[in-house]
Amino acid sequence: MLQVVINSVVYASEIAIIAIGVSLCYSILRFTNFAHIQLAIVGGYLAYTFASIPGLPLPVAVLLSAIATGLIAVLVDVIVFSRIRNISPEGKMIVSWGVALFIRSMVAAIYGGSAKVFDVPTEVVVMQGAVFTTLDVTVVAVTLVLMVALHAFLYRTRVGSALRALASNYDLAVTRGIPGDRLIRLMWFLSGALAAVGGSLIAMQTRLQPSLDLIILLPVFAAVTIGGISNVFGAVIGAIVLSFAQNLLVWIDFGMIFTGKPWHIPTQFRDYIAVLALLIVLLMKSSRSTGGKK
Amino acid sequence: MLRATDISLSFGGLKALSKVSVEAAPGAVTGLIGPNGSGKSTLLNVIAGVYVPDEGTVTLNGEPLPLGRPERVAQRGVGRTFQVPKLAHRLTVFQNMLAGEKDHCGETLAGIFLRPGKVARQEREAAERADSILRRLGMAHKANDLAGSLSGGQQKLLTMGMLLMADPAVLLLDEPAAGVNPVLIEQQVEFLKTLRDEGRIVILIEHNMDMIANVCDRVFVLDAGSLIAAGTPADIRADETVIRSYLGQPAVPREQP
Amino acid sequence: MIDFAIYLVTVAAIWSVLAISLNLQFGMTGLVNFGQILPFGIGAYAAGIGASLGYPWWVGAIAAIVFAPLCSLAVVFPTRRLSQDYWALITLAAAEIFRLTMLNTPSVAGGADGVMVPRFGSSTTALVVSLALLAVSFLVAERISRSPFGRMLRVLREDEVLASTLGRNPMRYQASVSMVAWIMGAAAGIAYGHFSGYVAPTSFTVTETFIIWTAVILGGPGRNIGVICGAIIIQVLGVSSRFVAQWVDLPSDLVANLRLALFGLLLVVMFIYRPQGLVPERREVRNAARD
Repeated sequence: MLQVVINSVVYASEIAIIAIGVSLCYSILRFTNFAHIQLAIVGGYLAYTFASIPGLPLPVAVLLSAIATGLIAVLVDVIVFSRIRNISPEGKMIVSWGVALFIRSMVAAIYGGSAKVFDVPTEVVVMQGAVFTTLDVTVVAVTLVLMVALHAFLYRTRVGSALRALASNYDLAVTRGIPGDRLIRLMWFLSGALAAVGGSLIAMQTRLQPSLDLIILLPVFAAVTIGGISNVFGAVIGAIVLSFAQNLLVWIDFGMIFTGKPWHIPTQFRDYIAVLALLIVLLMKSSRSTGGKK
Repeated sequence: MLRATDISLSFGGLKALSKVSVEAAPGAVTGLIGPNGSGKSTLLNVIAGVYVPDEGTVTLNGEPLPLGRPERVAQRGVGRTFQVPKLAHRLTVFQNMLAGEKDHCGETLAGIFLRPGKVARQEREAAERADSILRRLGMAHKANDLAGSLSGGQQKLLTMGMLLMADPAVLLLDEPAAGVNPVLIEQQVEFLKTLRDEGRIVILIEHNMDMIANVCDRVFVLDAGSLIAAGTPADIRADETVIRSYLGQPAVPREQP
Repeated sequence: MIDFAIYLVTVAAIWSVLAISLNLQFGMTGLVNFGQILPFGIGAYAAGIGASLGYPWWVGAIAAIVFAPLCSLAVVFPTRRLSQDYWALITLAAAEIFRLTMLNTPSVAGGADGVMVPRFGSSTTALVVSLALLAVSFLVAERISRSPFGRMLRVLREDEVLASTLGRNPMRYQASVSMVAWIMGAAAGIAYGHFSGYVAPTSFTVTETFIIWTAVILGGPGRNIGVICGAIIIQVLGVSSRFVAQWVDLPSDLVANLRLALFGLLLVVMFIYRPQGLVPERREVRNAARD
């Protein structure tokens, strides 16, 4: 059981950092940015590139990648999304897929399709029958630090409060003198940087390849949906709920309970659990909104 | 006869309507007035089937309306407009009018593939009706313009024309005169009078008191979700409670110094 | 040379059918479907699985044609009351789940290796079947587009509330058009399966869905001829880029990725600067003798 908790926490951390960026973007710009996943991939690849500079420690590489990816995200806003502030949300979603396709393909073109492995020094730890690695600990620690920092930023600084004002009522905040455009760029930077860290961590845990985007697509969006798409820290809660649901359901020996022979849900079916969770949450939302829509 | 009886509706903690009862007779225009936030649009939305009230019923000629299902209420012959006119902006005026056609057999897959002749016939009849309504509204020359290119006032007229395609028994009009120039308002007034003379039930939300006085036979006044007065326009104009609710104070000082 | 032309036209025809199927849903009705590769995959896999189980070709074909529209209902009905963002996500998830299922069931669907599908007798047969499919799809889509049904689809696209104010139930229309569109997608998938002879999960990812989207946005959302043009342009770009790769001696992977990047760029640029596409929707003009 401890193993389940550990696995869940680690996985939730990786997903949460990336999912937060989606909610951040939605809360201010009111559309689901499907290109966000690609920023995580870019972050992973940039971290790999920086890390291959001799003498550059891995954490610095990740930091540099975060900054670079944040800047790329701002660039994307400047070139694309700032021109379409006034189109429908569906339009923005469609455009975000065009951007996603472009970014993904360029990454694959530049780096090639073969998988790359991070050279991360990590040790295995065994504690009370549960197995994890020092990298796992790093992942969770980094996520915690980032969450706390983000929360402090949003709730205890003036700039953070301005961002929250924009999120709750954009037009009103702008008339009160809050610089919407500049803060939007800041939001993109934060989103991109967070995504980069998340992508790097996942790449370090597994492997770095362009198809990583498909692997994290469903869990990230499931987490965002479960937590409520415009709720920034809801994404974190969504990630935790999703991760526990996945790991728990895979761990439970359904076979023993029902037939007396051991049988587990195969781990490949974790994604089904993600989609199932997504569907259940959405169906609950949709039934709550009948008979009284505005 | 349209009757809304004891309608109450709350949104969260906010009581939008408290036991409001109105009725509208055929061959008459019934006005619904009140300060902003008094619940007029909410009541209209209840009658139109958009909201299900917490209490109360709405009946048309004795039959209750299927509240909460706006398309079913519309199918019973209740047409409505919106404060900001709802149109298909990228379709032409004429296409918008045709969209108002009721029970078009050409709107089913079976119809268009298995009965093309019948569909063509209904389309022709609908086109003729649309032509005549557009002429009545003075908009025939705009038939091929995109609906989005019309002025606000013309868009409002168009929405009323679209309603008329379905030959509705009831029309619910939400501030048709808002933001419309006086010439078009005149046209709207004439149009409303013909609707009345055709024996339809017309319920009109308006802030334009001239229009109300000009065209309404009966007026209901709402304030803060409650009905505070009902009567002819002349009655209402003289009613103290109405004046106070609109202005927040008596219109004429009671005591002379 | 002739062989190559036949190949190109066949592929272009199949993708044109897919583009039309998305045009019906998005171009005409405003349904943002991010999983249109799903019915295509159902068709292709039905062809392959049916064959691997030993059934004649029409069993798989009929199964796909019946199953795909039912699937579309499962996706449209329960979730239509949700906002567009969530609905788009559901269509995406549905397509991904299908791909994952095919990937993870090696006994039934061949897993990552996919399934073999018996090929058409000759490339000419493939061409004729695909063109016939395109012709039927085009005629059906045009009939829908120019009918009162199509008009109401466009009203739904512009404003769903307007449609219900006019007494229409939006879900009925969305369900009908989705079923037709998914049948078309499945038919395209069946044709594709028998044409390529081989069906694997890598052909049915999100990327493929967005190639269809690029064809629609580029060609002209709402205009059937337009999206056919878009599909043809996409295929020509695809084929010519492979030529360029051989000629300039670049690795084909790199060129494939650059091509996809170009599609993404096209999608963005067209949507921002010419959202009506290369061939815009016709404006229906009323020309009765009036005065």
